[in-house]
Amino acid sequence: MSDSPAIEISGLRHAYKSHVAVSDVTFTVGQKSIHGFVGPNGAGKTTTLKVLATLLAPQTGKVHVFGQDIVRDRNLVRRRIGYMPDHFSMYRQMTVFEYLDFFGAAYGLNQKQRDQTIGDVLALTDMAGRRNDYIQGLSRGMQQRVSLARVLVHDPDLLLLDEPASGLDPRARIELMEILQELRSLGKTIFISSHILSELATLCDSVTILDRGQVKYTGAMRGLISATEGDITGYILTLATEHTGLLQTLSALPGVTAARQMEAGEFRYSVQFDKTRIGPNAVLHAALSVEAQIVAFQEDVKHLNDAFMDLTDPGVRT
Amino acid sequence: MIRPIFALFIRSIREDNRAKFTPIARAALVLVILFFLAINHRDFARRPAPGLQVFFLVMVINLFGLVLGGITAFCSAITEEKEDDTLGLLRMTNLSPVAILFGKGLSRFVGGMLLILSQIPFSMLCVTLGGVSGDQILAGYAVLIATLFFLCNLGLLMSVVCRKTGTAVALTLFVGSAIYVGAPIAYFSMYEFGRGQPSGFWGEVFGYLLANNPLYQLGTMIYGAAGRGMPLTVNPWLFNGVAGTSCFLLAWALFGRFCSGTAETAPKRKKSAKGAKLLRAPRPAAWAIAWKDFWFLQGGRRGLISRFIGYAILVFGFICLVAFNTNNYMESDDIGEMMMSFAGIGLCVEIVLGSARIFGIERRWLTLSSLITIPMPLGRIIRQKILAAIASLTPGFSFVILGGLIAPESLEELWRDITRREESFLAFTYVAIHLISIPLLACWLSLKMRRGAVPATIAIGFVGNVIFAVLLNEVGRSSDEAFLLFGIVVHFFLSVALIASIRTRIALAAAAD
Repeated sequence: MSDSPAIEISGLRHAYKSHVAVSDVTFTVGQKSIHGFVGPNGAGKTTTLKVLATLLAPQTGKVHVFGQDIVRDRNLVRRRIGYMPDHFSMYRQMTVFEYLDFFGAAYGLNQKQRDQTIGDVLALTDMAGRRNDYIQGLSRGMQQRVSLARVLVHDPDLLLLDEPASGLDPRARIELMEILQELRSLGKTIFISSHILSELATLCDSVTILDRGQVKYTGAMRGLISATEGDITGYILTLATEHTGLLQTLSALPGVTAARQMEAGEFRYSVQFDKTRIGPNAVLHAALSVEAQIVAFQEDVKHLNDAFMDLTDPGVRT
Repeated sequence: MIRPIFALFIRSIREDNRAKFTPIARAALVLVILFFLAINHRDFARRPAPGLQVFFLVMVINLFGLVLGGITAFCSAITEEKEDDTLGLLRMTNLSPVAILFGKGLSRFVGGMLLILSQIPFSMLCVTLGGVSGDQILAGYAVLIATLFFLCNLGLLMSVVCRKTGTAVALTLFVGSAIYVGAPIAYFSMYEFGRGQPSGFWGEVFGYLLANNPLYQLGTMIYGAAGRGMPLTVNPWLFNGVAGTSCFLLAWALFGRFCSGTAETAPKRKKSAKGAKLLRAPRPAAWAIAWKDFWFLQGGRRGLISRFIGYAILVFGFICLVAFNTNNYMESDDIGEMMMSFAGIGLCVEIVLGSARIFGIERRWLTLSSLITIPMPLGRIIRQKILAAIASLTPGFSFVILGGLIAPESLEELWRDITRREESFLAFTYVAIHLISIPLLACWLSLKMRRGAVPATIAIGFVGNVIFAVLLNEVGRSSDEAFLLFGIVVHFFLSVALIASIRTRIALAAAAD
């Protein structure tokens, strides 16, 4: 496998007649990572995914998957991707096994390889016990698992998943996320579009936020949710009881730029400091030295929801 | 009480009113009538009762359209809600089963009725051509609306009983064919074997069904009463009214049984009996897409057997009908020729239907995007799908070939005719090129519209040919050779344009999934 990024998009623009779906979209996704792709409805996520899945040709801009151009090397790209659309796209009169067997054969696997792969993907998606069931009779969550199994049957390097968790119950969603983590550990790159931000925050290594067809943020998940600005970083100290002298002690430390109680009546304190001058251990040591009863000491991170709300505009795209 | 009953009906009427298709369909039907009037107006002085002939033709086209387009619409009334998983939502509202049936069925009936009624003022122009009276025209439309009422309720019943629109259409066609085609065949068979008027219970039943056959009624009303006018008859209303109402009541009674909830877990595949194993799909091999289409879209071996039986009934049924009616001893050549003709017609219908299904069904199932992202050239995907479609035509081809083997002299004669006479060659080429352009058109339309590609193809093909004939006649090039040659050229370029466009259409449809 080459060292090229799994996905490299530069200057992508796609319009449906006069409606510009995406404009000047540029981002990269590293190999063997999980990349979240989030944005409000109508932001252009599905259009970008369809371009990556080779269903739409980019009108302007360049799109490469593992260094291969998606227009020029379309069939090579198709061999390395597995695309799961945001709707059920299944031959529902087949059994689960027949469905996977068909796609395996269409991707050129011989019977022995298919038997092996189908067994593996059914085990991975926990559908082995349902291999002879008709797809049309399966519940939504099970159909979603079969869809994921289909995407995996030709062992692609990159999975393009459009809203894979939509309509699933909490248990099925959590299980899906576990499957995706397992797939990452198997060396797959996963590009996932989703609205369920809390789960993406824990799952993804990197994220791209799209709003009204334009990239608002792209990069590491940590960079998005961390409260760090330049060299100044923030931590939250939670105590069991109130401590009157703590704020003075912390404020007096060299490198600490701010220390304040977060909410009146709560024993939570925000401490901001220059990380080039003082480390979190020194701050914690100072709090312990004045015998504060510490319950928790953690980095101040924004919730992905807050970051999302800060970066995207309110209202529906017209 | 009344409000919920009409809620769905009003919604459907609103949707129908907003749909682009409704005014286009009405305008197209009116245009067809006007074209026939225009064509026959030229021969006004030379032919007897041209108005009568035009009107009968218009009635037959309407009946054809009713069966072709109407049945699909009627049979999807409840199945479309089942397929979209929205029936449960409807049942959770204040709507009772009768309100759902009434709302979904009545809107389709009214839509069809308006389509028929909008033609009456134009059909009245036939009176000015002569040979037909205003009363006869009204009686003809009464037969159509009565037939519409029965078919609409029959479709509604099948829509309640079946899970899929396709199954409901097949069942409706089967029952409709038994009543409208099977009963007359049985009656005439009894007539011939019994050497006289059939009697007894079955004789009465088949005779009654024949008397209520819309084609028979139209023929009797229009031709049987020519010259003296015919009052509006209650006969079509009695049979169709009672049968239609019975279907509606039965649909109501069965609604709870067939339309409550969906299965939560998948049914296990039953262990097949030894014989049934032969009907099961084997594992896919190199031609996976052809395998998938043959076994799961065309019905596999089970579908082939059904088609063989269907062709046998069609071919031998019609041969028997012709033999009994002509009362002549038939040579093997006659049987072979008829076999080729009837199987050939069936094959043409199947080719058009199959062409619309090749990609249309993938579009309806939203599976085009998964199919297109399989790493193989689009041309190979298309070839595999065509191969599966051709394999499903084996029964039809077999009957045509069997006919050819029974009547080899007829084939030799046809061959001599085609190779020696320019006009025959052009006529053969004209028919042959239709067998390319019309299926291509059906395929193209199925990628453009989710439902109704086949009726639209037939309508466009028919209207296109009529317009073509009129235009050619108008410019004074009325010789058959010129007509055929021009037609061949037009269809050739149409086919080329469609082939070029279909690839783009597939990509667009896949992206729009």
